[in-house]
Amino acid sequence: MSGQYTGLPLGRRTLLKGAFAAGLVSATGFASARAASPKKGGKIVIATIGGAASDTLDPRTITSIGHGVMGFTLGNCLTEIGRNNALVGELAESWEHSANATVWKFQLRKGVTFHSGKSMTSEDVVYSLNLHRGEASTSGAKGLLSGISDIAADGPNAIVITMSGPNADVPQLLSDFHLLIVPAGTTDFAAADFTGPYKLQRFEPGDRLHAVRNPNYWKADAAHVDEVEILFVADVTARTSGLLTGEIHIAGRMDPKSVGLVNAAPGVHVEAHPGPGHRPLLMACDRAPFDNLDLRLAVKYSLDRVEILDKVMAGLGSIANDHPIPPFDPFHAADIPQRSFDPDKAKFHLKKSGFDGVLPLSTSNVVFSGAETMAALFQQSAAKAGLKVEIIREPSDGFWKNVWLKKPFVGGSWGGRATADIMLSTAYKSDAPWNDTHWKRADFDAKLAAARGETDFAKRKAIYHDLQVMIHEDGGAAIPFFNNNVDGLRDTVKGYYPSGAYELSGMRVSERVWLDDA
Amino acid sequence: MRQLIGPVPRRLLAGVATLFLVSIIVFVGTEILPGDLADAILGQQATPEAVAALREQLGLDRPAYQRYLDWLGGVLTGDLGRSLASGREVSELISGRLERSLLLAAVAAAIAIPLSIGLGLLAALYEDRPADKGISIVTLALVSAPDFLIGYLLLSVLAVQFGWFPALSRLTDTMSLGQQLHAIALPCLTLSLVVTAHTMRLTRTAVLSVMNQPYVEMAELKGASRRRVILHHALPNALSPIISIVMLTLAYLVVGIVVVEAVFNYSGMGRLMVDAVAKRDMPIVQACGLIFASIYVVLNMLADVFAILTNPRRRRPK
Repeated sequence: MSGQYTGLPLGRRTLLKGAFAAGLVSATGFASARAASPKKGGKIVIATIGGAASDTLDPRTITSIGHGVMGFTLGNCLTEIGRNNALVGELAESWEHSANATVWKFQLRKGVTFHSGKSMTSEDVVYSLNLHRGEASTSGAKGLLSGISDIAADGPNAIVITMSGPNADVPQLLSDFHLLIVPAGTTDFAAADFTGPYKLQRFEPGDRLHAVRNPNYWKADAAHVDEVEILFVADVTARTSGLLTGEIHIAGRMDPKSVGLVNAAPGVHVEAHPGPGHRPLLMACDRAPFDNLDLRLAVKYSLDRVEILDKVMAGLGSIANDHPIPPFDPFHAADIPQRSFDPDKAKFHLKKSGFDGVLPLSTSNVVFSGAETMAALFQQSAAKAGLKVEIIREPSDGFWKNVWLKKPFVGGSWGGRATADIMLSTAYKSDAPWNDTHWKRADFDAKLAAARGETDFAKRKAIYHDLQVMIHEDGGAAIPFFNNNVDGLRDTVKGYYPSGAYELSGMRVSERVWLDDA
Repeated sequence: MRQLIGPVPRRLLAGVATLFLVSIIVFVGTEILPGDLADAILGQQATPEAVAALREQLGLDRPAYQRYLDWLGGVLTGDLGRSLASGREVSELISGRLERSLLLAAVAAAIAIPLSIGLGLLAALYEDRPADKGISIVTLALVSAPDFLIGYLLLSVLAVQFGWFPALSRLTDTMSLGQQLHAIALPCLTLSLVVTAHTMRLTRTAVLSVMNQPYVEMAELKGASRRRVILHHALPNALSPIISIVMLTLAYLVVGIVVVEAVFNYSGMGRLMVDAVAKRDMPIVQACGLIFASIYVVLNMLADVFAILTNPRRRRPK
């Protein structure tokens, strides 16, 4: 089960054992080995980002990592990304789908209660998911659920989701951090009535959230500490200082440049694990000069990935291969030969393209801190191949409005997406509004649609492999690296493991860790 | 005293006009920033339809002047309105944070003002001697260092190295005054150091500029000691500029805490305003801007009034 994608043979019902079932052994041997048994008790302080005085506990208003951490401290979703990025059931126990993967039935876990004592039924689940749907929805998950045509209860302990087309990713979609389950009819979320590991004690928007253990929590082997305090600390130096002084146990989003110092300090260490974020150089394939494949390849071979990762990200990341599917994704195509800095090949393609002008690269540090450094490094390595690059530092205000998607050669930035399908549909499908390389291939679109509905894992992986090869060989994105998620921990914190795309153990850190000195 | 009655209402009116202008400037400033609250809330997942729906919901689709007038009407009737992002009362959001910021400023002022005026007088008294040189070198160094740098230095030495003070300045309801002072020691110290340097330099300059006046020379020629010359002859005439300096210092303390609050993650007005600007939450930005501007205007007015009261020539015009 571990690490396996749960593609289900047609019509068979599978009972999923979650990460909370004992005996799921870590195959990759992370540094944070499982201790014999978690210590109970104590109070853990987590510092994270993305808080504001205007925050609420309405799942529709979740926009940041910090909001997600709050959400998973208080609530649960139907499914969960667990250890080794395995998808397991959370409030859903098992699921099955129709032969064409259009209709999905989820069996709900029985005996789950909300903090208020009310039992959870299918009515609550339908209401919770529908919060994010519909014309008037302003939820961040609206786009994610746009493929759903109907959600209906099927008795008190099951729901049926009907998609507008075949989609094998429905269980993955339901693990999204917006889709927390609340009691049906909830309109005021201040009371924070969820089913999760901790109950709300006090919420000061933008400052802190304090919660205590839910004594009736349904999940075994989770929620080890008695109290959780989530602090919103926007300034990375303040987060780091608080971690060093012991005021904070876990600090998210550390500065790569300070990782060496933090690891050298006593009593603290850094957990850096592959994330999905990447920083492409975007070439517009539908116009000169980048409508010429040889020039695109000249740029891709001019990129010194190792140097960029080293100097821009302090080495905290993994080398990427000009496609956007990150190494931990089950559909990552690891066997595509790694493209590396090769001035001779770059020269060859440059000559073949006939281009002898100067490439204007538009960038700004608003894209990510280090974007301008990355552009300068690319300019230098490209010069070794005889490719002249001029860096245009665009104003940061309005960069996404006026430069991105508009200029021919732009420094871009992507965070993760829930699934390979969503990443490719958002940025590489011919008619996608955010197709920021303006790369249009009808054969790609057709394969992408086929992959979405394919429920056989091996077959599906083969299609995604082809799609990544297409982007790698022909696409307009030169992608040097995937960045790591970097969390700082006190050494007393045990049980941490990376999970999925997001930092802080997929934002679920508060129910997964314990304190050694509790 | 009667002459005061004229100027003070005039100043009050000018102050009100200033605040009105400030409110327009703040509003226009946030209007010309790209993006609005709907973009900020929906972030990377914003579809054009979702943005439009949210704008309509928040009333952001109405013309800017209409939104401004609605807000102004509310303020004139004592209603600061509701936060666009959370729907909570702005006054409720601001009240606790304003108190925290004022506490920070008050403690810093209580340390900085006596210290800086004392040092300024000392430096003037021992002009060009080692004491003056020493004070000047230290304060000039502090003036030259940006406040966040001083903050970070204090943080790394006093909090991280020695562990005397917390790195994050957090106040809770259950703290005693002593615990509160301990929690905010570092931001207060940072502010005090920054402000002391400025105020001391200005005090020294004010006293020394009076010292170059002919009547001081006369006093010296009559054989008065330097100390007597400064404290009895020069200081009364230097009081007026010094009071202005103190008022400006206070204003800076209240308004200049934004950076220090960020460094120590202190939850005051500064952070609230930065959050609100990032979210384009207009009612909060407007309210914070108005409050900061009011503090400035009132302190400036007080400085003017005190300047008149402490200046015999302006008190008893011929």
